[in-house]
Amino acid sequence: MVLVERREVSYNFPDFEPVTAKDKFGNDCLIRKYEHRKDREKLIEMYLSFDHSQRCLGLPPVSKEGIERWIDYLAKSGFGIVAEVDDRIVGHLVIVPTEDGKNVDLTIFVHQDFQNKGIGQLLMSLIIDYCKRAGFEGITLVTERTNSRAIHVYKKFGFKIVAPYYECDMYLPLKE
Amino acid sequence: MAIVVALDKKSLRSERVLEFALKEAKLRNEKLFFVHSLFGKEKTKAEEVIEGEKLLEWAAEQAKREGIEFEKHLLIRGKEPAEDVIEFANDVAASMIIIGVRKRRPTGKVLFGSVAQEIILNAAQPVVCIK
Repeated sequence: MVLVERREVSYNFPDFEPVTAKDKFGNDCLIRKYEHRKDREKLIEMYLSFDHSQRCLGLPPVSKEGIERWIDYLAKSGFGIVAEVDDRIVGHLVIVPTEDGKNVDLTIFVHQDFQNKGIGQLLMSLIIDYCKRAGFEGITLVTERTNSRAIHVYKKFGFKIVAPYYECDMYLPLKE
Repeated sequence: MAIVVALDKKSLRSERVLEFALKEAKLRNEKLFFVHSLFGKEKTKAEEVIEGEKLLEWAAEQAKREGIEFEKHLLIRGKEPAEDVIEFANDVAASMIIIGVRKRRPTGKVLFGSVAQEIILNAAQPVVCIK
């Protein structure tokens, strides 16, 4: 996978305060900033066992090399948060500023063994607040048109479908 | 004969599309038709029209600089983009269509785009896809 044509954006991301929350079943879940040096191996592990049938538009990459290249690229270009249960990374959300730096593009994956516990929604609501604080104008994301479950969740957070012709482009404005 | 160049959005890819189109026009000694398709009516915002015009103007300027004959057309005819581009290509008896395919979002998701697919599948002319 070639991740060229991204200029190096050294965006100054504000701090993210870690949050310990209970999932829907009362289990502790820590949501915190992703730290590349420390977390890289753990994140690779999550993606290595990620269910292929849940991949979306080429992500996560299938091979270990592809995963490494992707998350190394993300660490350089964006900001990530992770959900941790018993010291294991089970959810990952990343934002990367768009070319004009005004918006961020969002991608989220929750490991199949930890879905339907509200972890994804927790990550989403925390990052929306974070993006507002960071001063971004809005959040863009794209998913597959057939992924109605994800689209439903994004809509709950206020995302609107903006380009239904292609894949499903969605947008959440953060400013009036 | 003419080459139809379908432009969707200013990006590094559209720069590559344009670069290829300019070279190809010189090589074949053919005219370029830059097109950008919008649906119109309630499906199209005023800003999209402005963006579209800017995009075409950007392409036009470079063609001018290179001394290549061209026309630019902002298509707002109540048509979906693929159908619009294909119909336009037939109307001007195009010899080929140049489009951009395979975008990558900032977080890495890969898009092929149904418009590109539809043009490739349904156009009567050869379609060159620029990655």
